[in-house]
Amino acid sequence: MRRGYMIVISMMVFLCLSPLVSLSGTEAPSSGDILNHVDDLFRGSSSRATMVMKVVTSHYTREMTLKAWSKGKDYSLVRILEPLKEKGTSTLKARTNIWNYLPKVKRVIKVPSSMMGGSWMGSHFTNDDLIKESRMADDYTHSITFRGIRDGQAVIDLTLIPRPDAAVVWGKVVATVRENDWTPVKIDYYGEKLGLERSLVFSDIRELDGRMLPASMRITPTDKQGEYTEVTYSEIEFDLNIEDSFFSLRTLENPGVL
Amino acid sequence: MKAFSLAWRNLWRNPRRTLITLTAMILSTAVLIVTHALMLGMMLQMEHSVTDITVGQVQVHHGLYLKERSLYDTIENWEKILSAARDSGITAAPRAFGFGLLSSGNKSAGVQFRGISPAAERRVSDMAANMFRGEFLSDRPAMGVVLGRKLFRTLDAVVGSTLVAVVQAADGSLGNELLHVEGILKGVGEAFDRSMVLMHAEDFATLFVFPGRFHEIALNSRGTMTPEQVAEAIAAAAAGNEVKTWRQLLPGVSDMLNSFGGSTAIFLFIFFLAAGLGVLNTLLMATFERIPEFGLLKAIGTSPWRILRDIAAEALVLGMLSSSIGGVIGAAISLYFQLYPIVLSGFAEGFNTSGIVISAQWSASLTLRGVIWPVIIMWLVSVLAALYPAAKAARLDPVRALNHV
Amino acid sequence: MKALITLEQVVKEYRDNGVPVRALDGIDLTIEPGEFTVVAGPSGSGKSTLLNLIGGLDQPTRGRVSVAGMDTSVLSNIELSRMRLYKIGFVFQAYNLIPVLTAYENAEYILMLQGTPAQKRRERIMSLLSTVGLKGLENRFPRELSGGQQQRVAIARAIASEPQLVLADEPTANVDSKTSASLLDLMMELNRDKGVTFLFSTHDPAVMERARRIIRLRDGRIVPDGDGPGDSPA
Repeated sequence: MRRGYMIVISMMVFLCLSPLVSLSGTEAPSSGDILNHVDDLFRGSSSRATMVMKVVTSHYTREMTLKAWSKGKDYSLVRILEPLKEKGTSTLKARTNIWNYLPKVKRVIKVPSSMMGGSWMGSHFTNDDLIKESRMADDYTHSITFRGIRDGQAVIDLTLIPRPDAAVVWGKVVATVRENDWTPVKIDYYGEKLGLERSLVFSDIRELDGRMLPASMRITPTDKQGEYTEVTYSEIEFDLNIEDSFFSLRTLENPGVL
Repeated sequence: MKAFSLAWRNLWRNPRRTLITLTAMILSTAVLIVTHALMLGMMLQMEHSVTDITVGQVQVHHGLYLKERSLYDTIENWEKILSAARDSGITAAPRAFGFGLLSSGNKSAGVQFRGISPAAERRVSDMAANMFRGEFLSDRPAMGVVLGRKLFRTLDAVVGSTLVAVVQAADGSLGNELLHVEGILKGVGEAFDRSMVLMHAEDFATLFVFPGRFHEIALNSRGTMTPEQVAEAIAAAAAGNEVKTWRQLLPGVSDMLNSFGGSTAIFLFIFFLAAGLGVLNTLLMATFERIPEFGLLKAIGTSPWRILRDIAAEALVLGMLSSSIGGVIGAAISLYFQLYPIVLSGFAEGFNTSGIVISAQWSASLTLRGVIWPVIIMWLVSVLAALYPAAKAARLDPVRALNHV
Repeated sequence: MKALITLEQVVKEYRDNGVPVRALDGIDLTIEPGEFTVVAGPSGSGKSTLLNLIGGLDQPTRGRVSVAGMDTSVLSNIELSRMRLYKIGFVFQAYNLIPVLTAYENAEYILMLQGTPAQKRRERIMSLLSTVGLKGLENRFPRELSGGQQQRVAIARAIASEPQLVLADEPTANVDSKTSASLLDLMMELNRDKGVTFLFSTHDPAVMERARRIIRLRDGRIVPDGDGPGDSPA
């Protein structure tokens, strides 16, 4: 589970496909079951969503309305609808490449590897977060480290430690899910020296496209007091018939596709 | 009998030895003057490359800017600092810096955009005169840029190319503009050459959505004040910001220049020492040959002081003669290298070391001091070298000296 | 008349390779102004040492040397140097002249040291060089003069400042007998005409014959008069 797992688009997919299946069986689930279950939920599916991204930093606060398409973990496209000044600015991700379309200059710019660590649209997500994805179970050893009631809620903590050969940036990841339906509650990311670096908190669980999902998630970097990026879904549709060819530079450059 | 005329006759008792010594001293003096002029020329050029091409003598920054390089750490009261500089006759150029991506076709590079005031920059630095191709920025904002010497190759750009700039603007948005290459700078320093993009401050403000904010003010008195005096002159107006001289900003370069000056001094010292030993040798031999003569002089009542004086006069004549001729030759050669710089072949466009640009044309810097000091020091060295043999001669016992064979 | 030179019980010892050598052994001597005296004796008898002591070039180990009323043993090196400059003229056997100076300049040298004005120097030296027989040779350098001519220049220099005493250490040793005789004539003439006191050493019997007073030295002692004929040159 890389930072990539955290990214907006992946999270959207993740959220879209969160299990409606009841998992409230009496037998104890294994940590592997939970991880595999979550990872498998991304595969071979697609989504289209509208959301609001609010970014609060010590220097600016901005709010964007975004429209996003995704297919599996390889393809996604995001367009800014608002503010008007940035309308049409878009990001295409196809496998490990990212392009931005800039309507003001009518140019597509491929994001070079040196800029992958840079912020995506001024948020606390990096471009890297958009593309780095892999199966969590491949990169981390995992175990259930807590199971019980916390803050009046029955939860399970999974602690993930990177395998020695895994190319991951985190020293440790602790994911908390609801015990009854494995809906994520919070994910804490620890650095290589095991200090908490950022937290992702899920909230506002409500019905979207007929499913109960956390409609809001907020990422908070530990070292920047008061800063956060919050994504809230207003609309989401699942399992659409979108061709791979939709995720092309032609679509990116065509502001008519909304 | 004047002491100098006596000295002159004595010197020509052994014309070959005197000529050899004279030639060596003339060459030493000339080489010293030329070396000094060349070293001074190089030091001036290096300092010039630091202070006049980009850095200026003094820079003002927000206290955290040099550490963090954050877009948001801008200078307080920059207008006040500019007007304080103007009042003191110091040229000042405000600069805004921001990182971003510049691309041309499928080539792109991470660059540092520098928003500058072209008019102010022309006064503070020689950047505008340091063009490799094209023109420097015009005074009106028109989304033109001037690229660093190596960056234009990275981007495959030429004068007239259109480039796309993408940056994270100050308001979090993705700032983007089409920019036109107006010129390419000559090499001014590795980091600068690789990543610098100069643009009009107002264009910078548009690109970064960051109007009226500056990260750096470069100050340069253009030779009328020392960096310390410049810093002092604007200290009050710049209160709350960090004010640093170029030597503080670039301690490595400063140390290098100092050590360069130091090694030049050591070199010159060794040269003088060698010249002094030459004089010493000549005079020791000349004195030794004349022991009975000194015995006679002492016997008939010549005072030790007079003997000392006569030998010192020989040295002084040697020193004056050789240093005057050597001075003229050295000054002439220095002047030649000042007018016709040495072209360092293989470095057609200059080269960098430790961030200093060394021009491919190495010119000497001939100063009055640079001629007078070697000449005077050569006199002193000659006289000093004469003191030992002279004192020996002055203290000779007349009876034993007379019978010395 | 007060004695010009007085020596009382003068002893001079040298150390030669650590061994003390007594060069003069109890010399008592008085020389009056205007005398023309020869110090004779074989080589090593102490002639030069005696002249050096009188000339203030050296100082006695014991005893007292008084020249023109000054006790040399109490004078500093600088005072001795001034005494030599102002009171004594010297003529040496060799190395008498400064090679880079002309005959005129060599003769003038002492006057120059004494600070005599140029005009006065010129008058005196030109006439003196004429007196010693070097008229017309004033601008020659020593190497352009014969041995006898060189010694004449040295004599001219020695008497140019009209010293009270002229000391000449074997002045005729390096010249032939004819030249030697003419030099002696010159010195006697100067002694007679100008009243210059001469004290000179020699081991040349021809020179001794013409001396008015002979002081014979042997092994650092003065040989009493009467023993004279037994002395022979070394």
